[in-house]
Amino acid sequence: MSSHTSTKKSVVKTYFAKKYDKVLDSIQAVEESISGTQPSSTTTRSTTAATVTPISSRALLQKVAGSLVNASIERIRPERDDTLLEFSESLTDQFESKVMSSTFSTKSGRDHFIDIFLDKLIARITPENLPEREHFVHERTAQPVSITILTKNLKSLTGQMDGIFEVQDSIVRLLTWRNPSGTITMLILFTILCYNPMYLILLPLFHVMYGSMARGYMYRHPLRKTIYPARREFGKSLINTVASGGPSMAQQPLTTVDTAESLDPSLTEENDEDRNSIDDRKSLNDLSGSTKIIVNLRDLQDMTTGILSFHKSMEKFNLEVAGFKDEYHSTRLFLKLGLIFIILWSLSTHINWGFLMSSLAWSLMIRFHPKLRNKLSKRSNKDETLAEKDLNSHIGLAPPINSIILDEKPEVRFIEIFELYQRGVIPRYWRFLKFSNKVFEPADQLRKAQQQPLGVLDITEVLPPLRWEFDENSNWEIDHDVSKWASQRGLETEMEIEGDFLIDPLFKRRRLIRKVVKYANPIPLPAHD
Amino acid sequence: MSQTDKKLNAFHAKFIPSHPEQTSLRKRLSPTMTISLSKMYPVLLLLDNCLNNILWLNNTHYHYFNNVILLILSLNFLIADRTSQSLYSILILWVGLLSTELLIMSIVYYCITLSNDLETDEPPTLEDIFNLIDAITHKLHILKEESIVSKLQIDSKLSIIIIVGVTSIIQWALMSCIAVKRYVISYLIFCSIYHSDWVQATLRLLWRSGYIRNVIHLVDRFKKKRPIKSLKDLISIQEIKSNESRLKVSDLEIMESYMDIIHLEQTDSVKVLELTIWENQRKWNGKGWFTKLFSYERGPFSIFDAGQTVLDCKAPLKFEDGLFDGWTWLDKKWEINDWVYFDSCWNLVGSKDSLQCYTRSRKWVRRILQLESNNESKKNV
Repeated sequence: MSSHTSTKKSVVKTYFAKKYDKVLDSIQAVEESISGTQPSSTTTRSTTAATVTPISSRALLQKVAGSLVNASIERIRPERDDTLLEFSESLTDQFESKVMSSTFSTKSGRDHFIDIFLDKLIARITPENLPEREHFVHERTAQPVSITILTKNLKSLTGQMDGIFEVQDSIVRLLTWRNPSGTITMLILFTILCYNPMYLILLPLFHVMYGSMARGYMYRHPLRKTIYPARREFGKSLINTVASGGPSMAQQPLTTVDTAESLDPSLTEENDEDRNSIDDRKSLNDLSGSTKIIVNLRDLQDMTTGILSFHKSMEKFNLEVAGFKDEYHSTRLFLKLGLIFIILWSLSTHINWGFLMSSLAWSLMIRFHPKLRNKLSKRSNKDETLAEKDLNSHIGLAPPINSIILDEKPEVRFIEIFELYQRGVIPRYWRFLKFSNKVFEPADQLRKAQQQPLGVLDITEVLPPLRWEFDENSNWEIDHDVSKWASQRGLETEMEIEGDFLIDPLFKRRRLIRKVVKYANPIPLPAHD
Repeated sequence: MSQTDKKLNAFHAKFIPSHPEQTSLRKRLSPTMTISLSKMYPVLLLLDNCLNNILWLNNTHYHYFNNVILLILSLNFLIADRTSQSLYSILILWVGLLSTELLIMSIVYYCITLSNDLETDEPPTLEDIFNLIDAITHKLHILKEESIVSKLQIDSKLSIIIIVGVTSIIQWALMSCIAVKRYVISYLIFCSIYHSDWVQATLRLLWRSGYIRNVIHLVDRFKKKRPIKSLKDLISIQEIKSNESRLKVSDLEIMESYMDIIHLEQTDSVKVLELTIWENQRKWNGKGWFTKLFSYERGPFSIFDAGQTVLDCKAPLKFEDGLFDGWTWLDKKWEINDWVYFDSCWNLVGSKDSLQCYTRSRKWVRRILQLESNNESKKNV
């Protein structure tokens, strides 16, 4: 197996060598470096996890970039399309060249060339009028798709994502009780907010005043409250012991934390709840710029994966539950939601919403405390198995004792087919030609082209329109009111009516109609499949 | 491969065009008719717009929601209590006045722009006018279909009396618990949103709930007559219904061996009655047919009386032992016919199950006879 993949790899390499020999050099250099230091790991995650052992940040970079290149080779292999190949190849090349620009400074010129080349390529393959999105102002210069701008944006974005990830981290810490006093502060603030929504405006003001401005002032004009570091801490905080949901999960990979920095007066002033995040930021600051980008890229990747899975589940809900895939369950849900809406709406004036919301928040947060959750989940597992047994005993019982009945009248429409006859050699002799869905009048396109009409020879081969079905209780019936359907098509003046037939010099036809029914439209397919 | 070929070669019939061109009608129109139609065009446009507003068509839901709010505010103003002089009530009055003006102005504005457009535009073609008339009739059709009156089953004087009675009780209850002003406003809100697609979809979904159906059909449930439990009642009902047929035994086609069992002679004169019991079932959630039926409709077994009203009864097999007064079963057993299929309201659909069918019935038939002439003598023996 490994020899097979290596031969494939070599074939790909030769292909690369023919087209971009310079690029290949760098790829090979990276690959060699990977095989030299750590042959097994390929994913970025495992490499960053492996950085606990002290290695230089450059080696880390090489590993990450090398595994990216390796992954892209793997990705390209099954695809035969040359443009795609060039596209992703140059993307990886670009990335790599950017990361390693310090070592391979000669590449910058070529890099630029590839950017221009790619931009031109994209401009050529995309249609001129791309669909527009809504914008706040009408006058907007249309920006063409450009790899240069995209990568520049992505690069600066990954550099500036720290803040967002920090916020995410602190929110997770608050919700999981890893910062217990922070969680309690949050609940207290929420309670205040529930009783007086005006605080929704006041709190941000407070945050700006003391979260950012006072902090900035104290950085510029330190209060000179120098605290000497204690060698050992005695005693423990009650809240931390009782309510802590465990230590912080965020890893601090690099061990080179300068102790002198921790004495910085601006940091010692921070209260307990923010210390963790400060530590994080500090450790991130310790990383060199490009490593930070990689870490942020990984987090961005996690974030996008999370967003995608969330989007997927939302789409699933929209298509299946809200889209009435299972009519019975969706109807039940709709009626339940309606009932809840009406109850809440009618009770809304009699409910102390502040008390309700705040007590709900407190009970939920206490309910989801890690220590309590474990105990509760054990109990609920037992309940669930019991409930499942109950449910299973109910399934399979014949009469469905439930409150929902689906007996909507199906959509009913009528379809038509024309039974065509051709005039024979002997006068008054007509030869059956076809069952067609066209009248096949003299003005018909196919008839003008002296071709046969589309159709079938046997009436049983005629199918109902897609997603419709024939009504079992109806059959094909001859439409006796010829003048009506002829006049609806404006044909009664051109042709003669004889019995059930509409006749022209060459052909005669009669109309057959039948009822078709449809219960519901099928649910739409998800967009990404 | 062959399946995909089949799919590709499949020949699908087409729908009958739903909006056929009435060319012949247009050709037959007299000039005066054409002129009067084109003069009516603005009125038709106004009517069409009115219908659009009632049916919430042609615009976003936001637009109609805002209209409803404006309507509420202006109604509040028009029937407001003007004696109060607090600042808040003055503010409310002012907002009400503003929204009334806004409503009136928007109507006037629409009319003016409409007439302007008509003046500047080309005169309407016959095609335009006919299309508009078609659209209006279609919308009126929808109105009629969706209206509450069309959903009530008014088939007799009694049902009218019941409906009037029930609705007046509801009205009285509503009037006594909420003020007239609020009642009027909520009634108008109800009218203005009733035909919107959201309300219609909600009503349809509500109709799927068995509980709600039971509540709505509460009257039907009480109208239901007592079920037939004895063979005597069954025979008396069917006697009234059928023309009694007095026959000689010789006219009947009965196997002689069976005649011996029920003690019949060829010369006997008999009264023959055909007992018919219908077995009923309902289709549940696509899971299949079950004898579980709603409490307000016919039961699992039923018969029709002389007035074609449905009466519930026991299962046919439970009537076997109740023979009296010389009545004897003429057939050895119940003859069971094929199922006949109905829609959800027991209107006949056909003999085959289809998407339109939600209920079905089948006949159980058995003949019963009563000796006439030799009755007394046989009893004595």
